[in-house]
Amino acid sequence: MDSLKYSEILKQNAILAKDVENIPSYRINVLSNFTCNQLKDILEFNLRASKLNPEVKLGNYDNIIQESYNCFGAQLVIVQYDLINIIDKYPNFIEDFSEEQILSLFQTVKLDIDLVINNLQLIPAVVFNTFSAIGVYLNAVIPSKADLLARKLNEYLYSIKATNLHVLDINSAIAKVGLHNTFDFRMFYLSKSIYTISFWKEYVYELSTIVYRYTGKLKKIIIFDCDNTLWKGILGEDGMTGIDMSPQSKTGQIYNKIQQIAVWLSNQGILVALCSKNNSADVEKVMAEHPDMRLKKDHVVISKINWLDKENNLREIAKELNIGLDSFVFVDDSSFEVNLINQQVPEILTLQVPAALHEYPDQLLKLIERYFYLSGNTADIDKTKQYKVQSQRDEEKSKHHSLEDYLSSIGIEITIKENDATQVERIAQLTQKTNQFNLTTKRYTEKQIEIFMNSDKENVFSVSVSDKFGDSGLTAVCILQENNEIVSIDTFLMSCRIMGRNIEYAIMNYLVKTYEQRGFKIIESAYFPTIKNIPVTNFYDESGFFLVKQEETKKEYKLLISDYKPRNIEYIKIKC
Amino acid sequence: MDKIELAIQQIMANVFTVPLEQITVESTQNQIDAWDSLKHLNLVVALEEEFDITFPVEEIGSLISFKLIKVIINEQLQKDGKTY
Repeated sequence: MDSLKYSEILKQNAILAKDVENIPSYRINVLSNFTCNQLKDILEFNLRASKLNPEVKLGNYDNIIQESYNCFGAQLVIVQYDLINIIDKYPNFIEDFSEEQILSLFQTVKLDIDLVINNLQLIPAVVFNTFSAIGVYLNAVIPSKADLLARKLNEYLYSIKATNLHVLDINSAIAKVGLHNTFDFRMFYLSKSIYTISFWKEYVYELSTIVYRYTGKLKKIIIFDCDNTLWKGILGEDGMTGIDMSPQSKTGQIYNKIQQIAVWLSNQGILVALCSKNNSADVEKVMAEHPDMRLKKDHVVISKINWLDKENNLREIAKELNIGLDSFVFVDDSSFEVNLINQQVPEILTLQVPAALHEYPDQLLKLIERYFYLSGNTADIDKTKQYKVQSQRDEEKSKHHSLEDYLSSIGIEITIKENDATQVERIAQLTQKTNQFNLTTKRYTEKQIEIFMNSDKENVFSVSVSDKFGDSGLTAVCILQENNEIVSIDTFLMSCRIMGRNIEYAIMNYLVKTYEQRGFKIIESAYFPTIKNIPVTNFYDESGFFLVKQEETKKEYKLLISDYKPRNIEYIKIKC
Repeated sequence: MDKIELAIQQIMANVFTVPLEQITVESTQNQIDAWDSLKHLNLVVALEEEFDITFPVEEIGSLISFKLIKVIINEQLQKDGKTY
């Protein structure tokens, strides 16, 4: 909604109204002492987008007391008793009031509050906006009378013990959108409409949290990726000592803060989970032993650390915990993963780690404010925990698309170069640091790569990958050796950033075809197992090679090129 | 319709919740039932947001037909040195 224009919200709101018409309605009455009709559309839109069917009724202008007698049947009543309009009725400016006048005004408004709260005691939820002197008169040096009055009234509001009452601090929305984007005094003097669309959007986000609390729409679980999401770096490549979440390092401290927030969420009863393409033992080791790791095993309710696609992992989490996918928040640094989830499971709310990393904690906190309700009350914490047991998983919609559908929609393009001298440096680097998708884990220097490129027997293939989200650069390397009629794969490696997109099979198709055209009949290959390269244990089996010899430290394979059945992955475009 | 007219048409249809084709360059406040004083406020803020302009207070009451809206928007764009 942040990015939608008001006119677009109006249009979408009318469309959404039809989508939710069969859901039981949620009745909201708004009592206000100023014109606030734009609130209605924006609130309706935001709630309808969350699959609620709000019926928003605006009370008559400046009739808060009278209207509070007429709220029977409402599930939520919003009271907006704005100071700007309260003082507008007096013949002299508020700062010119005597102390007695201020006190008497306080008493008058206090009695109104009491009456309204009393009239609304049977309404399940009441939202009462705070009073604010912003927009009336503020003075940093000599506190304004408007401000003193507002503070006194707020103090009273917060002291009221009514379990259905939620005091909503409007200074929060004013601060977020900024003073100049909050008020439209032109409209105030024309028609007593005080606030701008920008203000209403922010206000509605804040208000919606309360609605979600009463309608079971709060988010219950937050799932973090690991690499470059909980720490800087890629565990499989940089190793335990290479990843960074240190409070002492410039970048690490940002991740440290993210982990602190995750721990806080866990302590508030929010379920915290991990979903990462990594070796499970590696991540467990980091959680147990890394000195900068704030998020510990006890904070995490479920982990999916494996090489399967994230869509299915998230669906598994929903199944295992028995909670709806619409209560999920998913945080990942990869635009591939985030877009995969947005497209395949749109009911999941996603957050992509921003490129401007310093904005990451702030964006996460904003999301938490909007979609979680963290009162710190044991009752609320327990309630969240109960969801884990009680909540019925939403029936999956049958429109489950396959991963293939997604992959074919993102325009993957790979460029394969043979013996490209300009890439020697990056190729050598990849052989030295790639651990996970690396069949033989042979490390080569730049000199050695150069020798391969210039020899008649060896060929070095380097692969760059791009898709509609951007260019991943050079991310895969294959080195093949020719011996008479046989060609053998010396090296086949790929950065783990591009795993899970079937790119390895596209490369294999290309290699087999290339060597077939050069007159070869057989391709040999081998897998040398290491602690890190478990994800590719079965790569050659899955590529149609047959196992000729198996030892503890080596599996040898062979492929008769004439028997090769290329995988159907036409959606990956190959350029040379 | 030109680009500005198309945008005005779309906004009026959205604000008054009527089909697009019901809004023409001939449309006026008298012909559109939903165009009351509250919807008028919505129309003003929606137009301002779309064209990135602020109408002077005295013009707000004059925005009562498609043609007048277009004239006033063009004047304001020109005054601000903006193009749409």
